[in-house]
Amino acid sequence: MKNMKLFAGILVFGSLWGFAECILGSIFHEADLPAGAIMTGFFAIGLMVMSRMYYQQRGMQLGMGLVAGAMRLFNPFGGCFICSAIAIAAEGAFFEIIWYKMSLNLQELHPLRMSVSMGIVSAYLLYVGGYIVTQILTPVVSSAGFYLENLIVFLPQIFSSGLLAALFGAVTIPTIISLRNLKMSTQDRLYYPTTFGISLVCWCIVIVNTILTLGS
Amino acid sequence: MGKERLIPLLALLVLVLSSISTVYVYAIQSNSEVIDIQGQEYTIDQLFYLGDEQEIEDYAGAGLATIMKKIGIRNPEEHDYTIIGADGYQKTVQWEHLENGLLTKERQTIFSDLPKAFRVKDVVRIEVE
Repeated sequence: MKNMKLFAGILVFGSLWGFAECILGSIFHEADLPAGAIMTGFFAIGLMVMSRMYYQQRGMQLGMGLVAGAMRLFNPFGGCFICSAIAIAAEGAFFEIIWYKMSLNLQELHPLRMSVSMGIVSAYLLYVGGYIVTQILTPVVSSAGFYLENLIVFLPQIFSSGLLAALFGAVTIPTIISLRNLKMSTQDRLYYPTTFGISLVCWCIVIVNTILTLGS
Repeated sequence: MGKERLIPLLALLVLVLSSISTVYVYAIQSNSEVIDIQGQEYTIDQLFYLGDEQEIEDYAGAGLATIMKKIGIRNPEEHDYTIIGADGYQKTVQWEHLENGLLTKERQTIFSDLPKAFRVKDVVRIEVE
């Protein structure tokens, strides 16, 4: 039963993340805003920390990344969707690594200095890590092949572009931690209908958006 | 070292590293209006004159393969081509991709058979290897 609740949590948080990437990310991209930094610094970090705080379960965020990455593949608009899907899944994996040593109740993040610092470190490493992984894997999955020198010369640009994500993360984590006293019950009989309902709505909107865009 | 000291220290390092990288990126950014191909500089109009007009999705431009043939690359199918943008972003492609690629007036490469990650913006150089 506990596994089922966790699965439903992964599905709903992953779907919300994927929905944000597909719909809001595409809008930000079209508006020439720094979509990658906004999505990582606010949405990815925010949803992963929130799920860690409420479910207190390691491994969940990796699953969320896979769900969100899969949804991104369904929505081939707004930048490179293969790169985005790979980066999203990688961000879930990097979160698990970075937060492995953190306690499950996140007690050490209650001082503001710690939550701001963790926001900077997490958002930056997720953004830069995801960027590097996608720069390696996208050429590999396409027929062009990966050339290490192409990545090395572009590293300063990647390190630089992570700054904005880091600053967003510095705001996001303290905000999420400040919500820790809000109770989110997992015993409620409405838990499964709510989680599956939200997930279904997210997937339906993304799929309909894809069909409409392809048809236009 | 405990987490309460390590994490703020790492955050400081992240801010310093990313700030230095930002300064470096702005310092090396090229404002060139010409495209260097094998040591020879061409304006975008010259390359459009050389290349045949093609369309991929909503993009129109000069065919990259025709450009390479017209500027005199010998045995073009035997080379790799590294396309470099003004911000340092670069991607290496083979001849078969170049045959499905074009260069837009805005100096961006578009390939019909490669992911969007291969769309290099503000192209300043193409190295033939």
